[in-house]
Amino acid sequence: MPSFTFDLNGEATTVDVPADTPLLWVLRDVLGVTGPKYGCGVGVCRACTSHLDGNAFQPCTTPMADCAGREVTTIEGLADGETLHPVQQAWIEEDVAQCGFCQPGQIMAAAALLASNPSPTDADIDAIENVCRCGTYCRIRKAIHRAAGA
Amino acid sequence: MDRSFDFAFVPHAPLEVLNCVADVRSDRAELWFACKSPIVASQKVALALGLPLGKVKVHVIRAGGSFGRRLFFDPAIEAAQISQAIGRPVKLMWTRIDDMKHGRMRPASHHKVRATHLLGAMLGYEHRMGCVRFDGGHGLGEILTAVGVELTGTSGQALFNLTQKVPYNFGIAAQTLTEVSLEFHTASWRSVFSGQTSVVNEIMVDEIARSLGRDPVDFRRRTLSSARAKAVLNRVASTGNWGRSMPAGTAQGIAVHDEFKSVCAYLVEIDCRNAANPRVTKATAAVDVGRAINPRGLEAQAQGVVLDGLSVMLRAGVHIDHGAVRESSYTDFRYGRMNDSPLDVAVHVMDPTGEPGGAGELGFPAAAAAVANAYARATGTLPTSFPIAG
Repeated sequence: MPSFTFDLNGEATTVDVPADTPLLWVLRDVLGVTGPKYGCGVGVCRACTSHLDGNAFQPCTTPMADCAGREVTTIEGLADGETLHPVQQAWIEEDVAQCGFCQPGQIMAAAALLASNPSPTDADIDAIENVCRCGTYCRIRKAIHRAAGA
Repeated sequence: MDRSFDFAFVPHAPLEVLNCVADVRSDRAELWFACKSPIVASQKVALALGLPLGKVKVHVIRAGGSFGRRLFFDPAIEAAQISQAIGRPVKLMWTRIDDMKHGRMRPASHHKVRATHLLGAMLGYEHRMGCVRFDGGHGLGEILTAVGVELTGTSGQALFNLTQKVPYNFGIAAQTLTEVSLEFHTASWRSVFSGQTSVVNEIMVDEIARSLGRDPVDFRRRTLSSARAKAVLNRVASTGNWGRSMPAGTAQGIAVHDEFKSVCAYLVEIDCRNAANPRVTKATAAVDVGRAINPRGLEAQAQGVVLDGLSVMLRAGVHIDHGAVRESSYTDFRYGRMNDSPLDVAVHVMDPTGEPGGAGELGFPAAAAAVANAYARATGTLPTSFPIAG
């Protein structure tokens, strides 16, 4: 079985898996990193949203081979040690989560948006396609604006 | 006045798919899964495995919201049977496609309503609902009522008769349910029957007001039977600026719901100028739950149902093609996302009026009906089949 090395949340990580294994299952089943969630497996619910070299991506549709030698950040690696990322802090202050299942992906999508666009408009925020079945969107929007102003 | 309405099947589409870990041994079983009815689940698993009732232990774990779906425990029985067959512990996860194509759904329904009025006064209101049989096979959460439901097939009738009411002084009012058994996998979906009956009733209230040449808020003020309902109506009408001037193709809609010892009203604004993609632009809610214990949590529930309401009324339902579900994931089951949601949902929690009532299922019927009423006023067309997108 081929071996792949990549940077996961700041640590060099090596796994032996078939090259076409979706990264989501490498993270969840091989490495026990369960922040990225399975909701569809085809990149449309976006509950697994994480960062690849700093950009939002969906590990459920990204083969392991495409991540070799690159930097993967999941929700587990977003905070700076004990200091929460501004988006995480805004999420707490706006009390965004209901059931919470989509929220790691929502936070990673928001963090990637703010990294490329520090002052997003409501139309920019509308471009986030992550599904929230509880309907927390109005609080997500407020939290993104709050984090942008932080 | 005679009107009829139709609702498509609506799956729960819980973002966390159904799942279970089962470890079945020769004389006992242990299961870990999220479940709303763990007692009857353990009993039904024992029956499926041929084990004594006391030899199945269920560990209830946290999971993503399921909106009624996890009253049933189908994956636990599957995982247990697989574990028994192969003699090893099993972790079972449904795929999204399994969930969408073979899962449970809110029953599709047809509604016939006759409203009779004379000289501006309501004489009678009759609402007949026909739906694919509602499955309440979990009973009240234990085996005796679950078996009773299975033997008699009456869970839908009992629940309908216990919960459904017409909160208006409409003369002689009657509502009936007729179920058709199609062996379809159904289940409670947020607000259960009220998500269809009360929505229809609130659309009809607007229709009656229109035929009488009355303002929808004024007509409700004069005909609602409870002071608490009038109070929440007045609160959203004033804070939501009811009757403000709006551009052609946009409009406000309003609705009320009274259940669970609680009452709420929603006022939404909709923009239908892009006919293919109407958007709810604003929502205002007032909720009287008797006494709010966790106001921020209550506000979250009242906000979340707006997403449910606009999704189910405008664009999210499944189609049955030659006996199979057409939709397979969130691509074609078009539940609302950020770009469908109003920028803000203002929630007004009323001062305490009594003991705490329900909150989680309270808002959906009013939010959904307000969306339909706004759509009707914006387009000049009464929607009668939901989702409106077809």
